[in-house]
Amino acid sequence: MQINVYPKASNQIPAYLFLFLIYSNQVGVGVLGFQRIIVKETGYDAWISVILGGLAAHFVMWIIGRTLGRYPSSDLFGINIDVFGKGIGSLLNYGYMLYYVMVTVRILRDYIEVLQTWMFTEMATWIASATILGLALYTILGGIRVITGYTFISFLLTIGLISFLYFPFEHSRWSYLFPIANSTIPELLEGARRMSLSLTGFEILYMLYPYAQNKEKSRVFSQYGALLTNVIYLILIVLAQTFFSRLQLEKTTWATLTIQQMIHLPFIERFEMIIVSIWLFVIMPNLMLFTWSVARGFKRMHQWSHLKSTLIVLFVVFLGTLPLITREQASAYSSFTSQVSFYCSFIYPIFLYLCVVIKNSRRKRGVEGVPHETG
Amino acid sequence: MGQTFQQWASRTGDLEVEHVDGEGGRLRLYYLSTMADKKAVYHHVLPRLQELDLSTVTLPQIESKIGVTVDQRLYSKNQVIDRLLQGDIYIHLDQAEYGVYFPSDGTQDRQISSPENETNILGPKNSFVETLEVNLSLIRKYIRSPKLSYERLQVGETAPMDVALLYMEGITNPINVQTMRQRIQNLIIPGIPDASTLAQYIKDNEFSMFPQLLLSERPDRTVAGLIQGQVAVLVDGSPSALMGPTTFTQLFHAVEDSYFRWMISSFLRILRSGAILLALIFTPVYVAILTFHYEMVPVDLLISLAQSRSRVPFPPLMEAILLEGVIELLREAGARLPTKIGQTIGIVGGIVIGQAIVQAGFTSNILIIIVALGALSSFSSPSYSLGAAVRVLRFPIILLAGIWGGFGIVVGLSFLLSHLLRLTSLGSPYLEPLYPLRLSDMKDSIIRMPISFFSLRPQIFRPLDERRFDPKKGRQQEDIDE
Amino acid sequence: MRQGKIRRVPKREILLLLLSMLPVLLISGCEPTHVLDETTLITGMGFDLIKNDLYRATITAPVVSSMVSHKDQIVSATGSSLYGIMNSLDLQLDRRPRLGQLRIVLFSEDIARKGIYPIAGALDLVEVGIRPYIVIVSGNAYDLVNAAYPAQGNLGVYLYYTIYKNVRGEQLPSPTLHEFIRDYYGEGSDAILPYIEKKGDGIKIKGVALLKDDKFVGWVKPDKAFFIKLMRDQFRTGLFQLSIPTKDLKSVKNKGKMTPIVLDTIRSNQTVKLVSTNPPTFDVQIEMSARLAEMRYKVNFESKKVMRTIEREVEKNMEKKMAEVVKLLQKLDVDPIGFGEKYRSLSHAKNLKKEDWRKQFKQAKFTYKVKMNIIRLSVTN
Repeated sequence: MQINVYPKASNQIPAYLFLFLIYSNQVGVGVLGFQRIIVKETGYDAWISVILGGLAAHFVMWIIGRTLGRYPSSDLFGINIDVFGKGIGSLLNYGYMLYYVMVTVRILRDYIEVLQTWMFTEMATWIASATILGLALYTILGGIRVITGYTFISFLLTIGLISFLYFPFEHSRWSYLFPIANSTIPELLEGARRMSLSLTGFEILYMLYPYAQNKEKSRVFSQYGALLTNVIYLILIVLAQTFFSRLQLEKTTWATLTIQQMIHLPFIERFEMIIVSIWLFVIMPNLMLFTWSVARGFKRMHQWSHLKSTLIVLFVVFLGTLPLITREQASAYSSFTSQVSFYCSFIYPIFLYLCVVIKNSRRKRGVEGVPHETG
Repeated sequence: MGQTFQQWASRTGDLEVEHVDGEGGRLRLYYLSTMADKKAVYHHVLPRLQELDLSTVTLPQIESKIGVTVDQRLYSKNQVIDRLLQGDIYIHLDQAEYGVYFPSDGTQDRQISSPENETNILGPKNSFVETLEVNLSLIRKYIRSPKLSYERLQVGETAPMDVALLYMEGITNPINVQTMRQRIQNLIIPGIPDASTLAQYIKDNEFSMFPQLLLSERPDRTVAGLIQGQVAVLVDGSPSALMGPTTFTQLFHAVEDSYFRWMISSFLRILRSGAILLALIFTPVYVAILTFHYEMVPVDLLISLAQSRSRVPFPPLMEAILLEGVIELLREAGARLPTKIGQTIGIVGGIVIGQAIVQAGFTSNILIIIVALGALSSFSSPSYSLGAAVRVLRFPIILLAGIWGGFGIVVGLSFLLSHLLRLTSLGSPYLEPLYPLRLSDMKDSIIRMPISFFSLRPQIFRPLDERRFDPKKGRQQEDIDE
Repeated sequence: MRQGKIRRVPKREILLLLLSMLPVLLISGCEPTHVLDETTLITGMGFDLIKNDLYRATITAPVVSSMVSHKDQIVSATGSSLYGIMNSLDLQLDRRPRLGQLRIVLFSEDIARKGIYPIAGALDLVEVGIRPYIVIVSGNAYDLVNAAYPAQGNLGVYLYYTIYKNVRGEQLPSPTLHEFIRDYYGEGSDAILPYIEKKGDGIKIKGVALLKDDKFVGWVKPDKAFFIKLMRDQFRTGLFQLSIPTKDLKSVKNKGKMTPIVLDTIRSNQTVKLVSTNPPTFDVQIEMSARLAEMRYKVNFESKKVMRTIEREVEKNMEKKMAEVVKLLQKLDVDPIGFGEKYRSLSHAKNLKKEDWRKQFKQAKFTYKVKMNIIRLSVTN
């Protein structure tokens, strides 16, 4: 297997698009109801936890950038194989691909959960799942350029919805943000750790990096993307904290959606119905980028055709959504995925970076040249 | 003849050469079949020249014989090309210091009608006709430049048809020309009745409803496209030109947009784009709200909605499909009937049937308003093909709205978005300048910026010569009170 | 057909298109719909207590039918839970009763004394939303809903707009379901709701009901409610009237002892400071500006001194009344102003429970300071 890959010029992605790619892959269904989990842990200091989690994401992204910067044009699959050798490297690749499948299943299942809660109580999971995955398949077959385009346009379509939050902000009670820093440090950190599932998605940089037209700039724009995500999360946690009292928020599963119920215009009410529908545009980039990455893993390691591997991955995701029938199962699965994502998205990149550094320093001491180092 | 002239001649399909003294002789006539008056060639110039002794003839003899003055002597190739483009006949004698031209104009007595589909208020009011020569002469009239290239191709095995490939040498990207040429040459078909059929044969994705090549019956629009760097194709016997590559936003451009002031054109373009979105989702939203999301409408509005629907026996989905069907039926009947009766159908359909349907309690009057607005919006599109595509697309979206409400509408729109992203026109992305984002092309997309922003040609056409004019000269201004 | 490499006709695309349409076709007609004309749009709901744990709900819904001219449908049902009531309503109606357009929920005083959370909490549904108003009725909700109101359309809508208008005009606190539940769960504040009664052919807002947790403990008239709002949040276009002594106002002809004055377009800001925590001592500072809208006796408005005197008198009067209102609240043991919220957010008291605060609130001490500024006059000499 090639460690480095050089996609052809027509498939390369301009650096500025990494802002939207990272942002869109981070913001998904979690944004509709992440507040409850954080508030349960840190109470009135939840917003501090969100900032801490965001900073951690920036740091890990920086680490990921450093790791990738040691190779001219490689991705996670290549680096794993290079650092750990074919056997362990492949195993780790499979592990990461499995993790991505898990995240995809979780996003899809949670979105369907939202649909079932807010719109169609009796909607069959498999039908919704098949439809959404069918849409994803159609887009993925257009290639990474079309996926990127979808991400970009979905960003343009949905970012304006932020402005409607002005209305619920009028009902804010700012004292709910106080007292500041009443929680202990471990509590704050635990709250930040709970953010990991909501923040996960930035590590898609591992997969998209070879496609960047300008590698250095793409890392910078990725940081901007993460920054945008953090700002959105911060706005939403502050809004939820000031809009609800603490115990009330702990009982509210989809706080962002409940808040939207306050919006009423002369011709339209119950804004959250629109949000729930339009959110399809937001979760589609998530689903597509993750499945695309997994399929790419197969292509990188076994040279399977992208169509074939995409079909397999989507089918696995489809099967994965089926057994999660009740709300308890879905939320148990979510919290399990959250645990996994903490280790996969936050701890593993740091570990990998250390391994790459050690490996490189050993190589330098060794006799043979380093064919893939940037120098 | 020189090198440049040869080059020019090779990409000028309508350049006619008459050997007066036989093949390999010294005396030749050059003229453009689309521009020159053939009567002058055959009744005036040729007979007189043949009266001369062709083996010893000199230019002064010719001059006196056909009656041209010293002013009509031409010394350089550029002058020759220039005169030819004016429609004049050039008389060439080998080894002479100069040549002469005989003035003619063959474009005067041609009958040009005014456009029927792409009507306008400002600007020229002529349209293509069913004769390729006339259409070419119309374009030549606008572009009297040696850069305009015309390649003559033939398509069809059973019924061969002339196809003209037009582009601007030095501006249009040869890759686009080559793609278009290749696609036309590769066709193995019996024959083509019209340019729109040719468009279907050569478009990038034939399963798409959206036009991937621009179809226009107006010479001025074709000329504007050519100058920007598009490739144009004319088909003999067809009153419309094909242009490519094109983008989705170009479908919202009317010819008049460049004749109006920029603010007015921008407003009109935004209006048209809004209308297309409205045409696409207005009825589906009605169906979705009445079927699933009754909570979303404020109570006062909801009560009047419910009141208007209280006598309707059908569920909203059926009601909407029924009424949309009626509207489409009226439109189709109006289009098939002769103009005079067509108008009657419009009135009868619009007023009588609409009134009767509401009174009979088949549909609510609010739906009548919505459907009529939707139909109106779909007709506001400058591109007839786009309007038609939207009218057809509405039905699956209505169906989706009836099944899944708002989520269904978004499923439909999401599919549409993916589809548009996947489309290409002659290999160029269809959604440009939105994606890939090209800010410099935004000047002429959904908005139209002031003309001084147009110093560069659109990047989507990948023109060889990007500069249209010097922006500094365009913006030279004096200070106030100077 | 065109040949060669350019022909990239994706046959699989049609296949996929059909595939993605397949579930749509399968599901067609299976999704349970909420078609508008099969729905009884409940706009208002009144709850009475019949006996322990048995409620009677009276609903009002607009009738949309071509057979009858615009009328309301009023139906009652009894049950011990919201779902029981809805089921029982379902048996009485030709169209499915739905709560998606619920605008107003009325609770009779009897229920309110026992606690409204069992029902209000049950109403916290996705279908209902968080915006219906909750109102306490003096007397019987059944009578109020059932009475004929010739001048009004649908009662639910009418009541909703009556309250909406007064909330916008800053006469009432916003009594949405969300705000009730927020205060119910909040550690340091109690909910206040409008208190209405039937009067003749219409409805009158009597004042503001005070709730301890979810239990009605008393109510205050609008003039007292003004001070609750004044200390609780801010005014942007408020209106208030009071009487001040005329003693120090010069050039008043035919003096009475007191003169009523009206202030409008009041803009106010409150600052509540926690001075000490044991016992909790609060410093309530109000800054307000207003327009002098009406005054019975004419004085020399040109004089700065006179104006100053009026301002002083208003300040004194207000401070006194604020103290009275807070005393009353302390007596009733309710804290709609949210002093507890201040205490919680400023004292770093960890895990403050509502019960703990109630004990503290009884002994809380207050000082008041009003700064009044008359910025405009609408009266002339």
